[in-house]
Amino acid sequence: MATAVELERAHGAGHGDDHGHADHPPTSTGLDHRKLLMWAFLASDCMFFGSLIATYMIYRGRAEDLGFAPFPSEILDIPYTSLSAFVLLMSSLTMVLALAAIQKGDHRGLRIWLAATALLGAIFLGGQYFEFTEFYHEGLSLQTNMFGASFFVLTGFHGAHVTIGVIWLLTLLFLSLRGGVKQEDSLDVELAGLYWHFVDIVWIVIFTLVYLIPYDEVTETQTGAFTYLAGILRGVASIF
Amino acid sequence: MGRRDQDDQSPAPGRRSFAYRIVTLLAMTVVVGLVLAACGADSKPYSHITPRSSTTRDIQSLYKLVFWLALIVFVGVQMFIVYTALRFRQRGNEVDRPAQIHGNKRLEIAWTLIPAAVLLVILIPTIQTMYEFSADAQEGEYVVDVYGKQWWWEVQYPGLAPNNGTLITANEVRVPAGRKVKLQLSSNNVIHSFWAPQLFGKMDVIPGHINEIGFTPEKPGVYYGECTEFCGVAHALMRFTIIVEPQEEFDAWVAAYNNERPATDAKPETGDVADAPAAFGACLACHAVNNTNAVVAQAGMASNPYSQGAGPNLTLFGCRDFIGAGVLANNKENLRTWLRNPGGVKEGNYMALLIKEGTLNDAQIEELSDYLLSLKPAAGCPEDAREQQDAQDKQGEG
Amino acid sequence: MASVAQPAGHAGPATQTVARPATKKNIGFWSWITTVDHKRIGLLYGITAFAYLLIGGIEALVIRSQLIAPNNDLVSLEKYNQFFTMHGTTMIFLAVMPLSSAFFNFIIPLQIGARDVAFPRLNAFSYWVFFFGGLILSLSWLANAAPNQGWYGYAPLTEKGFNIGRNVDFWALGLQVLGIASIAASLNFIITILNMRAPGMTLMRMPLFTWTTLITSILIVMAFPAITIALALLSFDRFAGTSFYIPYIYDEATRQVVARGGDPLLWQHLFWIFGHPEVYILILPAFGIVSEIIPVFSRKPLFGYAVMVYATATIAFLGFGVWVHHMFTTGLGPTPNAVFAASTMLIAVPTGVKILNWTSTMWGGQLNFTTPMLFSTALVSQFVIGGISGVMHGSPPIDSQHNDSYFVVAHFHYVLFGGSIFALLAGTYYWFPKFSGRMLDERLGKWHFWVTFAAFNITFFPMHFLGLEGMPRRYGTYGEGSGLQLWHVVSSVGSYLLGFSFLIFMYNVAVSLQRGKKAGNDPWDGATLEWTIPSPPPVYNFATVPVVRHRDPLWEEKYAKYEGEGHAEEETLETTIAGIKIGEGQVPDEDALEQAERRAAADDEHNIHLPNPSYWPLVTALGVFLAAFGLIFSYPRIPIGALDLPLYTAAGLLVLVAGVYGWSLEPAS
Repeated sequence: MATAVELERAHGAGHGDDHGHADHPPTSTGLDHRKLLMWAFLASDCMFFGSLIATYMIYRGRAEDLGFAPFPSEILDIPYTSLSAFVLLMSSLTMVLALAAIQKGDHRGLRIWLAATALLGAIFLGGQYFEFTEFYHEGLSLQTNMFGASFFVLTGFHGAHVTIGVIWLLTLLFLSLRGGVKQEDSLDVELAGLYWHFVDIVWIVIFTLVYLIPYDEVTETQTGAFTYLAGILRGVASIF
Repeated sequence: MGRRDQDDQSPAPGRRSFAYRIVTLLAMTVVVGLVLAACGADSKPYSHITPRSSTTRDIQSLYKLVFWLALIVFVGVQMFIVYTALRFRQRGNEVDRPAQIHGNKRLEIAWTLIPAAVLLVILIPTIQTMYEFSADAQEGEYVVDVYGKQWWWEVQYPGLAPNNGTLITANEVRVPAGRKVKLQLSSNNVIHSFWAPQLFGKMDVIPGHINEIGFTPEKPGVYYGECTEFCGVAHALMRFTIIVEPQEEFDAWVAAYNNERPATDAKPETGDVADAPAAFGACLACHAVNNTNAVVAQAGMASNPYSQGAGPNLTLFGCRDFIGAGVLANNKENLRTWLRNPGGVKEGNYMALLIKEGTLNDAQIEELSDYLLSLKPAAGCPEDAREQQDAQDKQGEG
Repeated sequence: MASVAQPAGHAGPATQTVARPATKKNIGFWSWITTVDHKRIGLLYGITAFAYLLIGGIEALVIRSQLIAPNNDLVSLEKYNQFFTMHGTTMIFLAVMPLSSAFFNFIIPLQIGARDVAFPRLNAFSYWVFFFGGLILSLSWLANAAPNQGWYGYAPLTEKGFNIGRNVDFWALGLQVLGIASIAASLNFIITILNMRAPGMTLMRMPLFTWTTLITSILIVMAFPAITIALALLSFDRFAGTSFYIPYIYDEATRQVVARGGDPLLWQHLFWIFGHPEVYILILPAFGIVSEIIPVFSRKPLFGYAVMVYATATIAFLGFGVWVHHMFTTGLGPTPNAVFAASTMLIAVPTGVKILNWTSTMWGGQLNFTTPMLFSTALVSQFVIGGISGVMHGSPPIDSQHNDSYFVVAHFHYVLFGGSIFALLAGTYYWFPKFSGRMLDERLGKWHFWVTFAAFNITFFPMHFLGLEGMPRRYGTYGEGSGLQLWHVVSSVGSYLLGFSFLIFMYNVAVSLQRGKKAGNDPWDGATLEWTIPSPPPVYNFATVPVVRHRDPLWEEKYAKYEGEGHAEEETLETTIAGIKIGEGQVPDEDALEQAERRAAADDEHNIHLPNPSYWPLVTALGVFLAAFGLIFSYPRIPIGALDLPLYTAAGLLVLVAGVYGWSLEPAS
């Protein structure tokens, strides 16, 4: 029976004859508390980003309707941002390699790949900083129009997540250099990895909705219809 | 292992009286509720269980359906609870534990499905009514624009002023009886909500949106309304009246409104203001009077959202029933009180930023109140619809 | 004796003598400041929240006193607006939610047979952040800038153009800080309940209060982000010149109104996507408490346990799909309104099932009307009234007459007072022996109940009539000609009586703490694990980890021969709902449980891990507080590079970072 196995595993964890700390309390699901915590937190974080993305989508096209330039179609540089999106995606790969390294007890590998991930994250952030200043010089600020406000707040909120991720990775790197990250501590790296992959996935969504979907076709009536449609769909979804 | 057959935790007194008291209390509540809900509400101008238009009658019949269903459910469930509490209370002579029943599938299915069916009975007419109301609003032939301000209402009749202009008044919506009216609601400041309980349900007045209410006023009379979305300091003092009058009286009012104090062609610059006391100069920035040169005040969506520089249009002020959006009856005494210290009458209003106690001296107050009350047609105000309603009410109609 | 889960009272003193770590009494001030013991944190939550309940009550009494006469000027309209705003905000965020938290903290680990929560320091952090969030809101009174825009803060009334003072900032940042506390606490309880159940306690053997705690926590974690973002956007509008909720601004130079493109309805959507689940966040714990009490005092298991669990989950799920019913009068059009009317009415079904299942639990029982049972029965009865009036304004045309009137005020007080507060009082009477080791006085308790019950109805039932007669919410005054005074007077008199009923309660607590009857382990003949251990529980809760073989483990222990038939039925019920098979119930087999028992017994004698006290949670919470405080009092400022940060915020961020690092580098136990 599955539960019997789980109980066994749980108590194994509690006695330290499995992987993990000796003082880990037994768990009913067999999953470590901290891993479950990270998953629950990421579910919550989905709602944070969901609210911001919804805000962006509701105001999509509002700048064009009111004629407040600059418009996203004029200012967004898709090739440039594609490159930085690629950089961020690659960092997910290096993150996986970092975790794999420590699970094998390869401390050097861990350090190299952690450093690479943090570096790629920092490159992404640098790209975002450059993009923001560029937009600012072209006349787009928080106050300019609804596009500026919702764009900067959404991507800035994401950038803040990446920044925290980079700090986290650097802290792990620092601890590893001082010998503080052991093979049995691979969960510490795994947690950072979960967070990092989540932030990457969110960027794919943002990149698609903000950059890739063309703006020219959005007209006022479509915006209105979109709002209604979204309301109805949400309503229908709520019933089932 | 010892079983506890007798529970000696709770003292015996109160057991019998528990049931007695709960029954009495519930019965009293229901009876009082019914008596008062049925009570006529003619002395209650904001009561919505005394509908006075087809719209509110539709809502009321829906409400009655739900109310009776709810009452059956309420009485049924309460009786179930009270009966259970009475019948199964511990008597102190129990030997065994009661039968350990964990559930009953059939019962549970039943009381999942029955409420669902009852709710469907409510939902279907609800949806029908909603689509009817929505269609009514679209079909309205008589368009009145209503703007929510902090804390009064501006009412505009597009096309009723000379040269297809807009007739602007405040805090009174006059409509002809028997015509389908469409109210278009908007705001450029905060959110308000427009509600005349006897004529139509509330509709929010939201900046950036135009919301519509369709209704057909039937019986001439004065109906009362109020703001029902919290909109700042004086939210509670933002009332209005809807004056329903026969078509000819309405037309007479429009004509009077447009012709009040005809401006002389020769001196359009001075217009009527020559008649106004000098002190009125202070009022010009915010208050317009038609057909005078007191026309700088902004109106409608173009007015300052922060309410400086835009107050109610004062044309035919002498014929209005109320001062300050329904706060005081319009008479000389109250007008003096208002002009002396508007902030004392209606906390927070923007006129009080300029006019404080002592800003105007007694002579100026006297002059201004005389002038304002004289703003009415030479032939007197169009007949007040209220008298008609009173007369009709006296004839004794349910 | 085969089982280790026996109640200590029945097993004699054996379990008391198990060797355990030194537990010298540590009760000084600093021990409370640095505590990570879930029971102490629960008490801290309870005491703080009860203080706010009294403050919120006093605010309510000011409101009722103002409305006792037409055109009353006891307080100015501006002050009145502050009182009703703070009454709502205080009661929701500082009283009812944290009172529920108090029960979560104290009871949940005991009910699932755990020695603490999953993250004891995170738990302390949650409490301190809550404490500081409440402090921010309370400081607004001292700054003479209490929030004045309603607890729901509809934009654009909250924007700088219409509300230039700090009132809204106190509110927005206070709620942000409280949101952090709620999310952190809820994450903790989700993990605790999922991961720390005693061996053999499958999900479908959890006590119903544990279930509602789990579901409430999930609701908090999923709903609070919406208001966090809504408030963040508001703060951007206020501090950074964006116009997320501002459709128009006025250009002073050209004297023209300029469209900005913001939409106030966005606030309403975001707020109610949070706000409606919030209603269930307030009421579901109450349902859980009542579901514990009614079976115990009926001496019968809960009727339809599985259906009760599914009903709770359904209510929570549907709770995310009904938010537009708060917006029926915003002119969204008939189609969205119809969809949301349907979903709103649908949610009444699982709620109705709960009412009938509670009553059926009583049916055929041996009802012992102690004070907790009285409050619970009253909840079942009074919640029906709130539920029925809820269905009424679930119909948009009717809602167009009821919305924002006293009818709605009556409705949600029947739900939140007749529901939540009644249950919290019931829970206090029920678990007070476990908190303190002494019983609350039953005679005073019955007085307290009947006065509360009568006063509650005298206060709130007339509000239905006021609503029907056209009295809008949030009105600081009403005219003489409106015909409203009679019911306002009745309601106000009732509210004074209601205030008096709380004096009886406080007197009872004060007296009973000194002279109350000693409780023993199991004063109520309870069914769940918390009654197997001493009152108050030792710091490690369970000397030996219990092993669970039944949904009502303690009853099974005491009355095994009565449980034969029911036992079989329990296992079939958990796999079906309304006759539809949902899934196989997973029941751990006996071998595994016996193994677990042996391990537990061997383990616990010399191996009880208890977390150390820590001051890092407090330091970190202090950082959060300072950072938020700096955004309200934004001077003095210090420039850091390109940024120009308020001094307090900069200091707060430093403290926050120091706290996080100190915390993560400190060994957990």
